[in-house]
Amino acid sequence: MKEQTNSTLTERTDPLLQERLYTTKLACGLTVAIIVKPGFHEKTARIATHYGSIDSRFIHPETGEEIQVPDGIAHFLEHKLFEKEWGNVSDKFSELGAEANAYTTYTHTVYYFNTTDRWEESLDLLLDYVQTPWFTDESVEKEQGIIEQEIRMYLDDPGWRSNANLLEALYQEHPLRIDIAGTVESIHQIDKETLTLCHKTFYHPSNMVLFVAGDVDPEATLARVKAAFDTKGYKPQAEIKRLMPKEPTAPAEKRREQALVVNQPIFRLGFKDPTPTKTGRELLAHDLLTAMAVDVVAGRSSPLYTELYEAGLIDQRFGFEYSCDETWAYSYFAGMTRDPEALHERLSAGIQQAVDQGLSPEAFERIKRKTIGRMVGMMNDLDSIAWLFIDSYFKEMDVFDLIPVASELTVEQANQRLREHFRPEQAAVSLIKPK
Amino acid sequence: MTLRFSRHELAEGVNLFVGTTEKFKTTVIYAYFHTPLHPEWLTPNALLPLVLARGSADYPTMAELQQHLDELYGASFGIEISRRGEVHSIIFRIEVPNEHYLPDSPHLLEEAIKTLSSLITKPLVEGDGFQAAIFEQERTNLQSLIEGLINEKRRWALHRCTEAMCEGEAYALNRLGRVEDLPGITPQSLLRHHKRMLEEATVNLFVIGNVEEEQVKGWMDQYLQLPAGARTMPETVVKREVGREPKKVTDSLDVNQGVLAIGFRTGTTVRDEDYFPLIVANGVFGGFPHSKLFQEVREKNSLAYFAYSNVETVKGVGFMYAGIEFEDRDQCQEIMLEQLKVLQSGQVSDEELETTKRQLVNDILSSGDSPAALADLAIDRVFSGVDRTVEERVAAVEAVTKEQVAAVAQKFQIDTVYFLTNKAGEGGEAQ
Repeated sequence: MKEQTNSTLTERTDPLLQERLYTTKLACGLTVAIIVKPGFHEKTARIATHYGSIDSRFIHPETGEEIQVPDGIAHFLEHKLFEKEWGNVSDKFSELGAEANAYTTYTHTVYYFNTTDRWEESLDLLLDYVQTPWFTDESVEKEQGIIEQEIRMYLDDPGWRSNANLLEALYQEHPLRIDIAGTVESIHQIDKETLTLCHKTFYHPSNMVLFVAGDVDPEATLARVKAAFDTKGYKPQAEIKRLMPKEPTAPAEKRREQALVVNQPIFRLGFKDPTPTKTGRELLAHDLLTAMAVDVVAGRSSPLYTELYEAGLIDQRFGFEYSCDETWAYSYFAGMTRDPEALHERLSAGIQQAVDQGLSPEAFERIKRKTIGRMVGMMNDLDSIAWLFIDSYFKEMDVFDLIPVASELTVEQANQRLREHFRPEQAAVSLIKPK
Repeated sequence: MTLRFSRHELAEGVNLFVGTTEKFKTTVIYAYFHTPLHPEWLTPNALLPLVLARGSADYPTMAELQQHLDELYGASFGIEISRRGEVHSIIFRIEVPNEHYLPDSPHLLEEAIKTLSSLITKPLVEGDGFQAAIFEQERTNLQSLIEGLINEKRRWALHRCTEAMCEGEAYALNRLGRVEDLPGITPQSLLRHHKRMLEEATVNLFVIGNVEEEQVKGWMDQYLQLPAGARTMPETVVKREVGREPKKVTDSLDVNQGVLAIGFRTGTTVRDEDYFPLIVANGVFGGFPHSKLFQEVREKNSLAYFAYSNVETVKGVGFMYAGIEFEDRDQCQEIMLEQLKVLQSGQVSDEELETTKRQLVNDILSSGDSPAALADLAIDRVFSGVDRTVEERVAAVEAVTKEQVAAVAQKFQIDTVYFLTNKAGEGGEAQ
C-alpha cells in the first residue's frame, strides 16, 4: 500500500481493489474521508455521528452529570433535523435534484444525499442542516404522529418482529433489546429540550465523520467542508462516556413466541457471544472469522444446509448472520418453516456436530475465496461502499484491511472460535406463529 | 460518456445485449425468458426456476453447485419471476467478480457463462420428468411463497387491489402463480414446460461489466444452446376506460396498521407519446417525498409514515397507497382523491414541476452507475421498442409542460379502492 501526504489529505491506494482513499481530520475534530470513483455520474456525501439507539445513557461531557433519555430519541432526532424554520430539508434537496435520506442504527446515525447535479450546493446543505437543529413543540408533536405510524408498520412486519424478539430474548440488559425507533409510549416522552441536549452532545464534529464518494476533486471538496465547519466556532469537547449496563452471559429467556398474520412459522435461533470489547483490526478479524465459520457450518455449500433443505425444514429464504460491535456480538439462523421444533433440533445438532468435529480446511478455504470475492463486489456501487466505510469507521476498522485480514485467517482459528461461540447455554429461540 | 448496450441477435428471438464498462468490479449476467402472463404458463413458470436452481446435470447436488459457485470467488446465482404488463418473465442471474481485482486472476467469466447455461439448459432428469424428490419439495416451497404474500402487508394490499381491479384480465394473475394449479403439475409436465420455455420464450441476455464483447458472444454461442423455435414477445391488453363505479374491497386481518390502496387506470403506456408526461405527473403526484401525496398525507396531516403513488407503464395502471390508523381511512381517501383533482386541474407550481424533473433526471443519470439499474434500463428498451440514450431521456423529461401533466392526469380513472383493516364486519366486496 503506498502512502503519500498532500497538503492535508492523506492519500492511499489499494493496489488490488484499485480504490483511492483520501482522509484527514479537521481542527474542529471532524474526520473527512473521500473515495474517488472515476467515471461515475453520481456522487454521494454522508455525514454520520457515532450516536445510535443504544446510547440513551451517558455522562454529559461538560457537566459530568449522568443523563438518561427516552428510548428512540436518536431516531427521533434524525427525523427532526429535516425540519427548519424555513421549511423542509428534504424538499430543498429535491429542488436541487438530489436524493436525500437518513437512517439510524444501534450505534450511529447517517444523513446522506446522492446526486448527479449541483453537487456543491447539496454538499453545503448537508454540512449545514445536520449541525443546525430547529425544534418547536408543534413540530415535535407532529413527528410523534408520523413515527407512531412507522412503529406500527414494523409491528406488522413479521421478519422485523422475529429479529426484535430474538434480541429481547438474548439480552437481559443491553439496549440492543430495545427497538431502534423506541416504543409508541417512549416517543411521547420526547421533547425539544431533550432533543437539544442530545444534539449538542453527540453532533459535535469530533464525534462525526464525513464520507464522500464519486468522481470528485478531493482538495476542492475538503476546502468546502473546511469552510462550512470553520464558521461554526466549535470548541473542543471531551470524549462522551456512554453507560452500557453489564450484560450477563446467559440469555434473558430461552424462547420468545409471538402470533402474527403469517402463512408459516418464522423460526430464529440466536447465540449470544461474549462481548468482544475490541475495535479495529482485532474486531475485524473476530468478525470475519466468526462470519466465515458460520458460513462453513450452515451456508448453502454445507452438508447441514442440504440436510435441512432436503428434510423440507428450510427453503431458499433460510439465512444467517453474525453481527458484532465493541459492546455486543451474536449470530442468528432464520427461516420460514413448516416444523419449527424439528428445525430447532436438527439445526442445533448440526451446529454441535460441526463444533465437535471441526471444519475441513478445504471448506474453510473455499468460504475464504467466496468472502474475498464478495468484498470486491461491495466496491461496485457508491451506496455499498458508503455503507461499508461508515460501518467500519465507527468500529475503527480500515476498509482496505478486509481482504488482507480475511486472507490470513486459518481453519484452526475458526474451530477455536466455533467452540467459544456456539454454547447451547447462550442460545435463545424466537418464534413467530401464524395467528 | 454514457454506456450504450450493443445488441447481437444470436438467433431469432434470442438477443444478447452487452454493456461494456470499466466502472464495475463484477460482471453481471441476466437471462430473461419472456412468456405470456397466461394461466397456462403462469404457475409452471414460477415453479420451473425453483427446480432448475437446485442443480443441473453438471452440478447434480445443491452442495456441488454451491461449492462450485464459492470456488468462483463467491459467484452468486439467483432466480426471479417478474411481471411487466402481461408479460411473465423468468430471470436467471449470475454475478462474478472481475478477475482483474483478484490475487490470482482466475478465469471466472467463461465459467460463469458455462454454469448459467448449464443450469438453464441441462436439467437433472429422471426418466421423462424432473427428479421427483426435488420437484415435490419445490412445489411445496412455491405454495409457501404464494401463501406468504400475506406476510408483507403493503405488498399484500397492492396485490389484492390489483386482483380486484383487473378481475377477468390476465394482469390479475400474481407473478408467483396460483396454489390451485399446483396439484395438476407433475415432474413430467414441468419438464415439457421447460422444453416449451426454451423453444418459445423470447430470450434477452444482458451482460454488464469490463468484458470483451466478441468473447462474451462466443461463449454464449458455445454454451447456451437453445433450440430453434418460434418466439414472439407477448402483447399486453391495455384497458383505458373503467366504465363503472369504482369497486370497493376491504380485507380484515389482525394487524396494527391499516393500508389504503387506490388503483387507477392511467390509459398511458411506455409506447405512447404521453409516456414522459405520465412519468412527470406521477412524480408530481406521489412518486417522491416532495410530491403532493407525501406532503399532504404525511407532512401536513401526520396520518402516515409512507404515502406514495406509482405507475406501471406497460399495463397502464397506477396505485396510490398509505399506511394509516384504521379510523383515518375516510380522511386519507378524501385527501388522496382531492390531490388527484388538484393535479388534473393543472394546479402544479413551477417549483413542483421543476423539482420533479430534477429528481427524474437524477434517476436517469445515476442509472449508469449500478449494474442492476443498467439492466433495468436495457429491459425498458425491450418493452418500449425504442432505444433512447440517456441524453434523449433527460431531454424528454425536461420538455414536459404543466399542460401535458394535467392532460395525462385527466386520463386517470379510479378503478378500485382497497382497504386492509383489522375490524371485522366490514369485509366483502361491494360494487
